[in-house]
Amino acid sequence: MIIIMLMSLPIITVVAGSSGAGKTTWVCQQMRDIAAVDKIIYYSPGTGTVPIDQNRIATEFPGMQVFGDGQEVEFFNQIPQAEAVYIELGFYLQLEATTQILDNLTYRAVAVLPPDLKDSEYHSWANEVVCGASTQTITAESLWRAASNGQVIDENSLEEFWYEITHGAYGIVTRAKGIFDVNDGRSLYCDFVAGLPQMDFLELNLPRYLEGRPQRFSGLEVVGENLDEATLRQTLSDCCLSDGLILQYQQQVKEILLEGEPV
Amino acid sequence: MKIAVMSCIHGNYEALDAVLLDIDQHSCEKIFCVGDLVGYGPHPNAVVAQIRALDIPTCVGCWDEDIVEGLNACDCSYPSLLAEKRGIQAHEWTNKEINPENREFLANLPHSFKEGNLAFVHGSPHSNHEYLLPQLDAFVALERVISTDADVLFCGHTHVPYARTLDAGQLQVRVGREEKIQEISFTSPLKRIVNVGSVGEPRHGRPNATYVIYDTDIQEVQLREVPYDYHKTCAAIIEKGLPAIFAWRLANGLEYAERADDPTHVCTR
Repeated sequence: MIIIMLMSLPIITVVAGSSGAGKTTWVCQQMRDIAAVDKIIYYSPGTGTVPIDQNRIATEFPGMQVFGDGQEVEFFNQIPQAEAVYIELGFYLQLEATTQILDNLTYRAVAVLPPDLKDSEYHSWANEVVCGASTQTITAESLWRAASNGQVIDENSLEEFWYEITHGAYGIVTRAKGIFDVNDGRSLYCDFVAGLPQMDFLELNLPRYLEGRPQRFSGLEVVGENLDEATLRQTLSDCCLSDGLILQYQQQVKEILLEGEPV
Repeated sequence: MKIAVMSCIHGNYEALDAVLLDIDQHSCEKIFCVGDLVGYGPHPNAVVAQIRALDIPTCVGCWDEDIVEGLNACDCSYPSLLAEKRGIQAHEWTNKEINPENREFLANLPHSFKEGNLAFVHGSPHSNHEYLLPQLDAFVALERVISTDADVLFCGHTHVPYARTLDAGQLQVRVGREEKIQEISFTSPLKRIVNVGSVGEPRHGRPNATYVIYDTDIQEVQLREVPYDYHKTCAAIIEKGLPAIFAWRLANGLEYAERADDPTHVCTR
């Protein structure tokens, strides 16, 4: 058990809800209203080696302390100094996990749910229900993740692969998100929720990586039914550039940047 | 006289069969084919055998050429690394599957041929790999037709059918240098480019086969779209060990891998 030694504790908000309803989006909205994000802590357990939301939040709010799996001790050590704490629970975690994580600390439970979801376990758990996106849910949802750290994805291939993922080529997909390093050194955030309009890829606020294989996080998470995991993994691999091509693209981008031209 | 022109069958026998039936129902007197009999689809031998059996005048497509000569694509062929890898998979599978007689038949197909004032090529008169997209610069498009000495140029390769009329026009060319410049004027009569689409690998968002019926008497172009049992082709793709994604893409009217998207690109092969 981890014991918090200080008398005064920040407000701890635990956010849960169904896949794609907008938990991370809601957390980001709260952050944007806070002036000093360096006093905010964000923790999302259960994401393993594919911490997509943590990386998205860390790039959008530089200075904020962001924690994931394996960083529980650091997270708890930082709580006393924080002004606010946000904990996001993925849909795949039991709500009882909150008790295990926070022990006897008090917290505000917020459920972000699609408008048509009524009388769920979230409703009895939450202090506050936030109306989120109108998402499609299926009964036999499974979750597939792959880290792609160190890989550079061919952007045109990524567009094709993303189209196939989000249009049912590898199973019925209700949610997909990913962060990828692409040919010209940018890091792109991809986001899909079934039933909502398709979003363009978002460039993360990170410097272009132009020195070999990127030493930063990238990866993909897909939620759906009857997922063809082997083909997903193989296709992701087929989109990755070789060392030679990475070098070639990075050289080209450097030359363009040196000439002061837009890439 | 009504003629039927088809292209890009890509080893899809079910689609070819449906198109031949449709042609028969429209009383076409002649059938022509502008190549790509093989590649991606599960029945390359059956398709070639049918074309041979019906003695359909055919020119060589880029896929037919690659099966004979080996892969040799310009960067216009593939829009992405993923598409290129899939194209190579399809090429290697077809290369193993095709029998010697059919390979020999493909090796002897002409690059182009003419019938009266009609010319037939796969990509363009310059290259089997060059895409004549509908947005192609009018001067370049006109040059491509004029180079065949025909009035109507039938092509395929893009998999999206269209008919483009190039109005009669005056062309002025300056030849020579400095004081010896000579100005030459040409008058070009009305020309047409007719892209006949694809029988076996549509790219128009539906799985239906496309081809063209042309009436030589009234110069009328009819773009035909023919439904067929594409599920059979999809099942054969998987049964024969081709990538399952080919079946999904065929069922969704998407190209297997290649896609023409740059009208300014001039093939460098």
